[in-house]
Amino acid sequence: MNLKLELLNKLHIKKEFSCGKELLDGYIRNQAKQDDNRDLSVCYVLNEEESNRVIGYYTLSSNTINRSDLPDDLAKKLPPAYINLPTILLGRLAVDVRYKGNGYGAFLLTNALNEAVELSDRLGILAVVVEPIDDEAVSFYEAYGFTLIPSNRKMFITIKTIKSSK
Amino acid sequence: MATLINDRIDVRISKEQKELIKYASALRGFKNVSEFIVTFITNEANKIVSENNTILNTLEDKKIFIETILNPPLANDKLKNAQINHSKLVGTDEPKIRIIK
Repeated sequence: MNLKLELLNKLHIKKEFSCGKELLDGYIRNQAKQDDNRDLSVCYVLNEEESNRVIGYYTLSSNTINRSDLPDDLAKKLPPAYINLPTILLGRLAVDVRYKGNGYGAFLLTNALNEAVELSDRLGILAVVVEPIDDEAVSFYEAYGFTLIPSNRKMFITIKTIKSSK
Repeated sequence: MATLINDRIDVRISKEQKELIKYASALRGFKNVSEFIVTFITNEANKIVSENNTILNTLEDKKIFIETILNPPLANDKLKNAQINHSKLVGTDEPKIRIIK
């Protein structure tokens, strides 16, 4: 079975997508295209070469942390040039349960991180932020070296760290 | 801006809770309980969405983020292996996964 990874398009069969998490199933079925049309986020889809059936997906969008949100003593540690701290949000990542155990989750994560590195050559980006949907997702990202942000259970990995993995 | 009222939510609730809510609504001078509930729940929902959109909330969050940005760790073995697998899947003459840009 040959697969392809590309941006979400009209040919993709997404109605049957089922990863076991209702929020992530509903997103690809009903919301992803709308967010894409509004330029809020971009959805990358892993799908079957022949049937266009969706096997997994991830979404990327940009996100900024303002220097003014940081307390003075912390802001002072940053070079003055860092006015805003640009990040990429890997908002969602999911694999259909019927395709679990093939390493597609790791594949999609690696692809997303590499995409972020590629973007960072053309646009300042410090880190990739993820929003794990549950404990299982936290463990998944932790294993790849993501750092937990305690208050809201988001996680992040720096672009420099990703670059050192290649 | 006037909001078009064209949908409804039915909520199951205990008699005691309903009495409490009606009383609180009256204390604040709301015209009716619906208006009271919509006002407070909308505020709360906005707060939740806004907090969720903010990446760093507490001082501890900010410290962790800045320290990591200034001293980025090297990638661990699991991520390095994932990179090797990724290259194998996309990089050969007949890739198992074709990347379309």
